[in-house]
Amino acid sequence: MSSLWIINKAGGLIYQAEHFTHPDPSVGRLSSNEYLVLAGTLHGIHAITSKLSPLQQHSKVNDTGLESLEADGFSLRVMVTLTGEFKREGEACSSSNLSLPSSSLPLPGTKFVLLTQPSHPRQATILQKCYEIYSDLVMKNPFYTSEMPIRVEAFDRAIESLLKR
Amino acid sequence: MNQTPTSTGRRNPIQSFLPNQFSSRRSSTISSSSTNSPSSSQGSNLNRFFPSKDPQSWNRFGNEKSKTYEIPNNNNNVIGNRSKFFGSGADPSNHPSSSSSSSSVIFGSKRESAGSGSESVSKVDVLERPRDRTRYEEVSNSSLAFLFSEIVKYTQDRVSGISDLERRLSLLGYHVGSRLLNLTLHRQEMSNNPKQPKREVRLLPTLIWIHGTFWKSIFGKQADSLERSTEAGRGDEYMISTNNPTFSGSISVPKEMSQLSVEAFTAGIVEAALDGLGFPARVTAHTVPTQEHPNRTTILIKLDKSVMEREESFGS
Repeated sequence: MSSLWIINKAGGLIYQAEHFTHPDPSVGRLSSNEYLVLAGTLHGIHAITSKLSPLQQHSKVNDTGLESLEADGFSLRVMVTLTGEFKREGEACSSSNLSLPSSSLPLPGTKFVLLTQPSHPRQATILQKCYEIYSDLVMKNPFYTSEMPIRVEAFDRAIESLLKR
Repeated sequence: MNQTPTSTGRRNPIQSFLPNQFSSRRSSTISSSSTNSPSSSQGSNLNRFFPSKDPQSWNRFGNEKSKTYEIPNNNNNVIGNRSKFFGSGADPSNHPSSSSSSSSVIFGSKRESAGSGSESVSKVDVLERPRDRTRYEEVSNSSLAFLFSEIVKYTQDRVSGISDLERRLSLLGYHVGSRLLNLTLHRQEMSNNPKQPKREVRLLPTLIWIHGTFWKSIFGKQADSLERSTEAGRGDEYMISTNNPTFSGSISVPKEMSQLSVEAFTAGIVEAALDGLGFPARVTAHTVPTQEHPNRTTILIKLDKSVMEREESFGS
């Protein structure tokens, strides 16, 4: 079982793919609206967790926030790309070359979220692969507008073959 | 024009689409047509006329220009051909501007390279490398993909429909193709038999050359198949197919534009090559997805009637 979400910088769900067989197709499916709400909530939780550490003000490293969440029935893993903007000790430090308007709040990168069964061994690798496919097939596609929902056939195909393996 | 042909050649297709080229061309237009302007430098003319953004005046100057502007020495031919080519394809509002812009690009880059040669020799520009030593240099697929993606985006904003978009892409490909043809032929002759250069004049060997050698020099590998249409009455149609075309590798066309094949660019390259070799044809690109190769593309070559007649007169 694995399911991939991609959450854009503003916290909107721009891609969601499920690749597993439901035991009972009649129950348990969430509507797309519910997924949007869940993704937004996860975005918020992620922002909070990146502020939780009391040492954060003094540490040289940026706290990236929630990385994984373990439960009895599933395991969730978050990967944040380095394309966001961070602010550290008063100086505006951006890790991206995009000229985004610098705000007082850190602007996180795009989040890749993977949901699998517990103790899945290759979560991080799969996420890395997803990012690779994303940059190859989505970002180089002239018909895709960044930060918008991803409707790219080749991407769907590639993600499917990756997650079903 | 002592400059190597390749460096100007590589710049042109991109530069002639940049808007600021148009403005510099306009300034030179004006300086040559206004009689009472003092003998000031081009730079001041440019500043003086830059604020005027009225498109009608641009067009007027552009039209006048074709009469007043004189191009020295033997470059006349090159420019003449090119502007004719532009004129046949581009829409009427762009026509005068593009024909004259190509001339100013040539002059512009000539000036520029003369300056850079005397100023610094620290690092050789990619475009100024020796022509035949770059034979095995490769371009990163990613950078090419990003560049091509931007080309498609840019073109898409300036066209009214899918066929128009394909035509423009094909036009850009034509510019690339005519240069690549010269470069490939030149290198081939230099390495094979410089004393007695030889060229194919029959149709089939030419098509095989394009499918094989020419393809390899552009994309690093041969095309996957070359077929002739078997339908009755369509013996003048040939197809070159590739399973994983270079340009559409990272592009998936949305459903509502399924008619579009961005490989129109490649079709333009092939059309230019055939034209240059004396086999005028109409070349189009069509995506023919298969289970294994969702991007499989067929380049359809419909040869001109004159070519088929000539072939027949040669006999078999």
